[in-house]
Amino acid sequence: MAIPLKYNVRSLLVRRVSTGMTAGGIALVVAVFVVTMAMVAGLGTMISDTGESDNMIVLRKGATTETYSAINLDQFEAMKFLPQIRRDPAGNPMISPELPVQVLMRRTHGSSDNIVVRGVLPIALEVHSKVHIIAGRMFRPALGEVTVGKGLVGRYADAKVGSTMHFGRGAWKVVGIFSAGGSSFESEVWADIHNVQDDAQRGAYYAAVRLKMAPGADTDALINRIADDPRINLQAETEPEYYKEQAVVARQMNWLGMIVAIVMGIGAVFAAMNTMYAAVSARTSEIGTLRALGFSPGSVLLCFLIESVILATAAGAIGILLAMPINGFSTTFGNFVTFSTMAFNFRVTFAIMLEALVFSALMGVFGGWLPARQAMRMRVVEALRRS
Amino acid sequence: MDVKFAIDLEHVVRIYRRDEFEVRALDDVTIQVPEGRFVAIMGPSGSGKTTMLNLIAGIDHATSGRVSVGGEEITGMKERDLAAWRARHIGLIFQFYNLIPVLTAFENVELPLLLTPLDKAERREHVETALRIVGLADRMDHYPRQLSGGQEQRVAIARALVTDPTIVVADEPTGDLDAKSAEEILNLLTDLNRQFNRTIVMVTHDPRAERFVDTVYRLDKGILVGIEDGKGGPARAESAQAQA
Repeated sequence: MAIPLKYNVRSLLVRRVSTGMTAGGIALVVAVFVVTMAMVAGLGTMISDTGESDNMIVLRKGATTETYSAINLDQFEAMKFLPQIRRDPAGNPMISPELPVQVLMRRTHGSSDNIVVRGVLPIALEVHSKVHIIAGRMFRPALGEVTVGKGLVGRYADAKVGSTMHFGRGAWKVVGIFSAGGSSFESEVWADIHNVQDDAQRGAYYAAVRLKMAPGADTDALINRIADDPRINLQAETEPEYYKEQAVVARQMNWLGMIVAIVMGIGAVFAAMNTMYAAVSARTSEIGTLRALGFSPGSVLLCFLIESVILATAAGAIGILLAMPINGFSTTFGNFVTFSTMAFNFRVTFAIMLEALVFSALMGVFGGWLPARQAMRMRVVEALRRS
Repeated sequence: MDVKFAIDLEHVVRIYRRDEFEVRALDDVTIQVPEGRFVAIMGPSGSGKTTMLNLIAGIDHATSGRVSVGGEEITGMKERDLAAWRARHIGLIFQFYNLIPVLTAFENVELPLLLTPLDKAERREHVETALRIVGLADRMDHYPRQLSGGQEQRVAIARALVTDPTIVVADEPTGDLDAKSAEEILNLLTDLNRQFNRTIVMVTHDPRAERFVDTVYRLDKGILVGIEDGKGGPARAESAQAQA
């Protein structure tokens, strides 16, 4: 049987100051880790939730985002009646031409951000089934009205029903607020596509077309048809695939977060190592006694390793608690793929908490390994002599 | 009549290396201690007493010679095997008690039992019995800092006895105690020897100890210079060889 855990726990509690200092350092590292991962998770969810599995996005061939795409009216008309496109109860094909443009919008407190104004037709509400009007109403075409995503409310001075927004060449009346299931649409302003075309002087071009596939439709056949039909000659992909590629920002943030966490973690490992070396040094005679009583060198190694892991994991739990208030906190982020500002919520998920605990336990293992090995290698006689 | 030896040291040499110097802590020592004896190893500081005790307890290795304890030769045992052997056969008592400060008296005494196959209830029974024998049944939940020196040493004795070891080895068990407590500890060890027929080997400077033991082995500069009867009983070593 191993040396009892209560020995480790009480030994840690006896050395309150050094244990507390080390635990504090590890807790801060874990808190930073959790906050970073929560930001990455929030970003990733915001981007990936934008897509719907039965929706397809159509862009110009070679375009990686809507920003670099253009679709003319003929191409749109040729697509409109493809059999794989679902129809609404009135028999209209659920296909939404869209034109997102960037505008500068004044924040509530001073500075301005790039915001996406998406020109759409009313059918967009049927194609994007996660989008729901939560206040006011949907804009009416050709009246210079807009509906704003709820992520903009409170951040931008005029993002409220009844206000007038000033962007582009005109003034736009805000008539409604919509939600979109936490997706990036919530960081957009939606307006009539023809008003947006006029205002942006884009002519009769769209940037993208979104369509909802009929139940059981052959996705590959539709993609091939859109690509191969000489009247259309565009590229199509499902929205989840498209947004997976757009999530590059989240992936890069993830790597950045991991690098920061690892660098800070190395610092914390040295702190844990220092504490455990001090523990081994202070308890040399106890080690000698345990060994003399018959506990094997391996038991002693395990004992100090476990102690280090207990210290680090407990500190990790504190770090998670420190970071918890960030859960659900809403902020904005400049997306350099779409060159627009997006609102998202930090998300502290169960998986992140588990990763944080594993991360802290690893800090304990690395910090405790060398001191534990030193304890294991002590000669019993030498250790007892220091009594 | 066949005499069983609890301890059998044959031409044992222990050399320590300190930088470029060699120190012969024990020099060709041969002794045989029959089972059930209470013996003392005495001698001036640096005479090799503790080295001899460490070799008997299996916490140090002889440079040459043969060490058998309880009929088992331990000279060539690997460290891991030796640890397991100590847990089964040796009860250790130290000068400074060496109790684990963060564990209660009960938990300290229970420690060596964690290396046995006993279940929790059996361990509790053994610990309570051991603490009752040393007169500390009412101090089970006390931490070492809440006990006097004499009481701490009693807990250490209970810890040494609790596994029912072949041999109890005690390194200066009275060295850190006042006269009254030292007397009580020596009486307790004598009782344990008499009542349970336990072989006890004690290293001591304390001349009072001679009154309690059967045999005194005298060492000087690593050499066994004499075997004497203690006043506790006649020397019954079957053979002993002092190296002049």
